[in-house]
Amino acid sequence: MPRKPNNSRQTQALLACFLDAAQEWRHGYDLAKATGLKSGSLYPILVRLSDQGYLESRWCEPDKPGRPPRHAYRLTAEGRKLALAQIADTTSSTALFPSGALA
Amino acid sequence: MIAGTLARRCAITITRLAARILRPVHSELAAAMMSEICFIEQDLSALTWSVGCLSSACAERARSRHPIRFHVGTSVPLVLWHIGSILCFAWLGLLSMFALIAKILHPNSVGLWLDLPLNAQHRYEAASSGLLPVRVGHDHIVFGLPYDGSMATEVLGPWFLPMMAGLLLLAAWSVRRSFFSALRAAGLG
Repeated sequence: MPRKPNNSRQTQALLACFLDAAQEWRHGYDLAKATGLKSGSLYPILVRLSDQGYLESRWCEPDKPGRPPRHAYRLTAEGRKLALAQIADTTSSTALFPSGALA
Repeated sequence: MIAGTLARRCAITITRLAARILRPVHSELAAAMMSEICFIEQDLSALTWSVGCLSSACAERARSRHPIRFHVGTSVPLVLWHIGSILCFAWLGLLSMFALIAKILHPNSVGLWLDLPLNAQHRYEAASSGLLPVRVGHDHIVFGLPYDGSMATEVLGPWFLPMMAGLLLLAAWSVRRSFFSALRAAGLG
């Protein structure tokens, strides 16, 4: 059975993290710290979600002088729908298979 | 800007390499990686972050199936490196092939030795009980002069010929790959 796109645990963690503060712009390293993802996992997911139109990005001016502008990401309206759908999916599957039932 | 320790400089260099590996279509991502490294306070975290960036850049490049094109300044050492590898290793491959063929045709004229570990004295195991007792990553096979008979008798088990043939095919394949890869690097393939 083919796997659903954007259904990996890492992607779900990232979407949930974005959804926690849906209107805020988030930076790569902060996202990595919040989700526990390494940059090698984080960036491919960010690229994929951006390519699919679920994320928008922009350059933010640094808060301290002498540092370069920082790239930030935020969920688009489509991205919010996807994140909510993923969370609903996860909740329903948890309800169907409570903890330990699949072990 | 954060002070330039060795780890920090390595992190910046690795991230720069990752940015170069990414295709132009991902130039924004490359710039994002480069800028993000400046906001990571700890040098070791920056280093691990940069290694992750490099691995994701390589993975993206591999997925895109756009080969990395080196400019002329880089391809000259690349070709030299290939030629050097052939000069150093291809003759060893050919020698192994010759030894394998000789072992198949005249088992008593070539000895078969195993090393465990590499710095230990060669032990003469041959094909004593059928399968060669080779452990991948630990042993390696050495062909040498015929065994003088003072330690043990060489017994060629039923697996001797298939294993020799397998090794021969492997050696031929690796030599062929080396030559063709060098030809391609030199622009002749």
